Amino acid sequence: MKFSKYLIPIALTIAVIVSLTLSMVLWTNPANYRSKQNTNQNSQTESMIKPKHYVYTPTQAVYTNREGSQKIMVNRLVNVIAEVKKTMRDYQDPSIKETSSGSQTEYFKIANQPNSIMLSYPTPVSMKILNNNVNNRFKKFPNHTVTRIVLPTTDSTKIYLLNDQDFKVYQVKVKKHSLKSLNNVLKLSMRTIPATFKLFNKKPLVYVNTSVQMEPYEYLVDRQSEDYYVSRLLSNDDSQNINAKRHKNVVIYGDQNSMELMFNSKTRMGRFSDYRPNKNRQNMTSVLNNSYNKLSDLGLPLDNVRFFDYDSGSRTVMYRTFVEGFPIFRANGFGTISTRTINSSAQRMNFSLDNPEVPIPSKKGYSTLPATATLIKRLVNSGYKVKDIKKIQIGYGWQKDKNSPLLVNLTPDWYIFYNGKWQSYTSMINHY
Amino acid sequence: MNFRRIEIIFLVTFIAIDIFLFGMFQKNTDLQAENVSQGDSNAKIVKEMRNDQIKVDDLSNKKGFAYYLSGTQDDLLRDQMGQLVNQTPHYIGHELESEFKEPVTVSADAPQKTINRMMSDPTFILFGDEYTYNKQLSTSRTIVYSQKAMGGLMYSSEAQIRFALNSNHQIVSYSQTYLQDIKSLREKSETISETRALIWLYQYNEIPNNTKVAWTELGYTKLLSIDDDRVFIPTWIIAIKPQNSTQVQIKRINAFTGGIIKETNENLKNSQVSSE
Repeated sequence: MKFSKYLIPIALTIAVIVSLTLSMVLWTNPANYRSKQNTNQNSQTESMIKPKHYVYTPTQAVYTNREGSQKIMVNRLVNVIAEVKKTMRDYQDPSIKETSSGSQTEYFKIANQPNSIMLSYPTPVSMKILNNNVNNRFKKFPNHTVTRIVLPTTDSTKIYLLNDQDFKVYQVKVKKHSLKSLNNVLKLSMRTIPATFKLFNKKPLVYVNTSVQMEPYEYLVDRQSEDYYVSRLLSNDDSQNINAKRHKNVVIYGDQNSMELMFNSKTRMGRFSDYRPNKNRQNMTSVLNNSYNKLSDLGLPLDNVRFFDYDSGSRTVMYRTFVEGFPIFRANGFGTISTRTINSSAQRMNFSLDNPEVPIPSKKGYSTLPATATLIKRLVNSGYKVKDIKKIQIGYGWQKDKNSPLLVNLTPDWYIFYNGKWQSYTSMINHY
Repeated sequence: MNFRRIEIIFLVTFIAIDIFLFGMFQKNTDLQAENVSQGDSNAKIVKEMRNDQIKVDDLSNKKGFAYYLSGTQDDLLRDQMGQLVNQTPHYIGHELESEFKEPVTVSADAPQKTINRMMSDPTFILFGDEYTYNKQLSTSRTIVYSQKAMGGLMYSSEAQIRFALNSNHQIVSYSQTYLQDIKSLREKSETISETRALIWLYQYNEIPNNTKVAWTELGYTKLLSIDDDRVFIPTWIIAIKPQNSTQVQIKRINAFTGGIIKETNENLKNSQVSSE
């Protein structure tokens, strides 16, 4: 009788404690909040966002054959650089040493060595960024600046990294590996342009030796709506009130304090200003990594979008869409996306609302671009100063189709970085 | 004794709550284990589909490579139809229709075997070696051959041959369409896997419950037309069959982007006004 008197209160106490414990566990475990919708959405976004090594990739490949003559390898049925990069993902026991610095002779001796493929970035990057392209095999290396990678096709124990700024040459020793896949890349169906890698204005430049036949393209554009970006960039939990102001072609969306999104319906450009505090990092690696994260947040399809330029002064990073291995230049020399860190409480992103999506057969026939030396001579004859020409690059000019807003014409032309601005050769010649 | 009764009522209630909470706890740990073990959500969604009474065979997770293609529709068939023997060809609207004067007898159980042997004969079929037997589109009375393109097949009424069979296993007539100058428009790009394509179709709510995925195939289908040019994209073609029906429904998923492709036949240049 005495035992049963305590049985019920004890059982009740245990039941209460168990229920409290279980409730606590269920409430505090964050994994329980992961809903099915979330996982679905993630996988969909993932396929649109390209990996870091896709965006921060070298954009030009030059092959030097046994006789020492060089050619630029141009994509036709395959992306040549992607194929070369596939062979660079499994280097064993890499070690790095600086073999020369400041010597142009040494620099060109390595860069122009027979039987080699040279991959070039359009602008120098840091080792930590390059590391993404070699499957993190270079993660222990010091964070040197690198512009070009030289892969010998007959020596499997060495790779060279070059820095254009002070003609530095680094030699990377790796364990002996098969070069079969690298040599197979050379057998792929591709177009080549005869070239020479030499000095121009005290800077290394890939000269095109002969005039080049280039195919113009017509593309169907992906016209992204403004709403897409408004909901992606401005809709945070804490910003319920989004207001919109309209003035002629410009619409400004804001959440009243920390973010502003501006669209120009005439130029089809968007600008996102973020006034929330940021880490305000100064070094190249952090800026580029941060910029890549911004790209992912933006949600613009990154198909064929590559890193093109980094200006350390203004901390502006420019990305361009590439067609058959050549970048697209829009009006004012703009690319596809640019990100800029202004100070610790302002970051800005400019982007294009229209982007090339589907190529369309073009009936225009080929256009001919002059050789690099001819081009420089003609520019000088027209009164331009050689010392103000900083970079020269084949690219595609973006022209809206007159008949349809859904089509864009991409016209091949030389692009020259002159007086701090990318300008087309045609416009420079016509200007004078 | 009233207090004792209250105690009993409380005890029963709390035990019920405990059982409920324990059930929830169990379910959550299961879910977590699943997430960890699979790494991605694909298998989970396929499982979910099976729970919705959708029958799916084993799917491949392999990604491939494909191209944007273009082809031109012209009158090459009309220009060359003079060389066809034992048939009366007519050419109407880019399509060659032809009846055999003497019906051609083919093998009863595998008509394609007999036809395959004759395909390289230019007096029987024009450009025959550019086509391949398409099992998925063929029926017992219609044998379909699709035009080949860059390692794939064109699933298009503008690039195929349809042989009509009579009940005596004889070809009585056929119709042929042909696209000329098929070439890639851009370097190859990665395509999504079969599993991914099916999952997207499921998530667009395009697969009803109580159905069976009859077959899936990666082929090229038409994206748009510009005058005589056709642009093709790699597409996951997914055939869905309601469980008590023989009719299949064809769905298309863009194999580059995963977007669904609805049936459109409009010409890009004609559609300009509507898109403005």
